[in-house]
Amino acid sequence: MLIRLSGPLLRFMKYQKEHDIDEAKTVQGALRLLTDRYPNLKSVLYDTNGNVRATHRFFLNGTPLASCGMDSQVGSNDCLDILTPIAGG
Amino acid sequence: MIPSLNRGPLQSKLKVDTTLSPTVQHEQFNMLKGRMAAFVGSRVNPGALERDHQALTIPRDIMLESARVGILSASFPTHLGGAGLDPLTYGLFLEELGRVSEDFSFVMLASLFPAVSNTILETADASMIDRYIRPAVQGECFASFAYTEGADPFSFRTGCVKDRDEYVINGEKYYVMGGMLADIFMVYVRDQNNDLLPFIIERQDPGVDVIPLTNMSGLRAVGLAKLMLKSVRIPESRLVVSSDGLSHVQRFLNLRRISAMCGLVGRMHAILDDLTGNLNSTIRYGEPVSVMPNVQAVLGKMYVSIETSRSMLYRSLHRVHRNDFDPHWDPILAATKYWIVDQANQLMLNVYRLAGGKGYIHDQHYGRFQRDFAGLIPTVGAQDVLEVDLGVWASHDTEARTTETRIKENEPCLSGYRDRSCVL
Repeated sequence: MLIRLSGPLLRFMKYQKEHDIDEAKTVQGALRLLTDRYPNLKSVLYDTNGNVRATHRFFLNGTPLASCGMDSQVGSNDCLDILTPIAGG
Repeated sequence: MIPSLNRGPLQSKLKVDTTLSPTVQHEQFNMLKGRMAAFVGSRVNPGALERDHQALTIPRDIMLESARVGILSASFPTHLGGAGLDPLTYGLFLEELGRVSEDFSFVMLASLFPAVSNTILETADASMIDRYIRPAVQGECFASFAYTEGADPFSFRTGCVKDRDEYVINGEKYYVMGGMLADIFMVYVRDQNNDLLPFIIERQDPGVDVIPLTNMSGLRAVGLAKLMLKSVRIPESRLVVSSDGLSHVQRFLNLRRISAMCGLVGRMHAILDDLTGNLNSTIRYGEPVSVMPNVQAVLGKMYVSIETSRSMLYRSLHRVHRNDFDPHWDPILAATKYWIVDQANQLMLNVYRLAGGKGYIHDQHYGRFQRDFAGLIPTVGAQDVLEVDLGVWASHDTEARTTETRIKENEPCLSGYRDRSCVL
């Protein structure tokens, strides 16, 4: 599947916007493989309890995905976009 | 003495709409509104211009009294001594506060301190409620939040190290609104696991230093400060949440975008009232300039700015009131902040177009509010950042443009906060 990121996450992924993760069976699995590839991303994407941080927004093939949708099945033609809308005070 | 901003023929037409929902608490709203207007007129407005000129923080006794007349306590639950206004009614209350208050710094602080305290209240245990929240309701504990460091949150240098049952905190936080008045700070600190943790730090804690920042363009009475933390030892019990402070602060900012906008819409309203009063009394070629078509066209634009801002604000307030919104980043709330701030700044340029030299030279409050409103461009989510995030959102969320079912009412896994009642 294709994972696309933008904004604040890019610096943890060598500023590469698109990533092919072909081995993944689920969204969660794809994210795990992505963080294996970019270890610095792990603490940004997940909290210390191993849960995806609530501030990230996911779109699977353009449709918003709630955090309970992390087990959604994915295949090689799917696309996951990650939006991290963080702001300053 | 500054000229009154609450006059003019449009005053009767532009009103806070309390008929929006049957849940609006009319009786309480009207009672509080009357007390608030009397207090603001006698205690807040008289010193507003001088405070702006000299960058003087609003006096503590004014904030304390504002709690006693119910302004600061309006949103707190009744069992803690607050008025318990629901989010919609409270939003309308803040809008009215913005309309009557000629010190916009006061409006910002009057909504900020309760917003921080209510955020702490969500996860507070009994001892924290007794120590911080009950005094906050009484105006005896002002809570500000300290987050920004002039860097992205992944590059924050303020950090903590755990030492038995305490944390030792070192670092600096910039641009703490209300910092000069705050008794406690909700401070976001990076830990050794690269997680962000929110702590309550008391002003009196050893190692805490609050430095005033007075070289500001606008909002010069908010008591902006820099918070210096040198080996500050904080017990674990003062952690607001035990992990993922990044999401915690985004959740706070999400709601803060709306509570900060309520007063702004009210102030825009008051400025248009004032301007029309001035234009009615300015005679050119034998008639008031307010009857000239070019002037009326600009007034029409300003009216549209205010009413569209108000419409977006009320839509957002309804979403919060129904607890039907994304608690960490809601696109409608973000768009509302973006729109209202943009309109407010445009409105001030149009004020100058119509008020001419008189507005620029004599009516100093126009310039003051223009500077105040500019201060909201980078606040609670900079306009440019919101634009980008909303653009990404819009490019994906095609479903949301036709229906509001994006945040499903019965989707408990969306967030751990979904079952909490929301307070602005």
